[in-house]
Amino acid sequence: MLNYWIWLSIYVFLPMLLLIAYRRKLLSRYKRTILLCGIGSLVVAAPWDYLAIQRGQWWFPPEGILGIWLYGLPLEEWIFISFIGMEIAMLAIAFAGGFRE
Amino acid sequence: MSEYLLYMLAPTLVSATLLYIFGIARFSLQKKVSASWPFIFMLSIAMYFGSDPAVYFLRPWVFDCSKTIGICPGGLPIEDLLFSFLIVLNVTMGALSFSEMERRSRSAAEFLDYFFFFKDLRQKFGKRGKEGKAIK
Repeated sequence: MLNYWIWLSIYVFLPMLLLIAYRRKLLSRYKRTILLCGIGSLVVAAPWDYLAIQRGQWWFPPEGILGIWLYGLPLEEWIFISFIGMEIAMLAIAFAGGFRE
Repeated sequence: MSEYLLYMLAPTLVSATLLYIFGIARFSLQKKVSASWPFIFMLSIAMYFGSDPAVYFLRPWVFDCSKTIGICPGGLPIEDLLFSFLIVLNVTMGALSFSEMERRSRSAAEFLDYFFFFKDLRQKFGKRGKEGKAIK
């Protein structure tokens, strides 16, 4: 079972799809913001994640991932890092007090 | 000292500081950050306690609890609660800063001008001649 993909679907993809479905108009005004938050997450988290994996802080059960590794991280981890940044940005735009005008 | 704590604190605190200087302080968004605290706290808690059961049952990744402070319920170190808070804080500050740039700019080029500080530099140096007078 590709458990990482199940986890991504429940905690990342599904909430993002729901947010897009219900707040499409609002979120479309902040496309660059959302994209930059995803890129920013990658820039900050990927090197740190790589080091942590090398040091054995955490590891990935082989049966839970596709087995495609890019630059020392599994594909799923790259997707997680970038999408979690975009997901939190979307949630912030939709619900954080700072975005209410 | 938890190794995980060190690995987590270094990049998130550096990026939070940079985001504060180059976004929040630059555009005076302190009030917007204050208004976002309830969201930041609630989402951090929801992320930690929401994903804890899933990490326990699905095991998408497995922590080495010996490299944490030792409180590791369901295989998810308690430090992850602090990490959730810091990641939500970082992304919210980033979103507030970038959205301010997006609000102020009418095109992608203007947005990049704000992002790379070209706009600020031009405003400071570009419109002034040798004698400090404004030029057309």
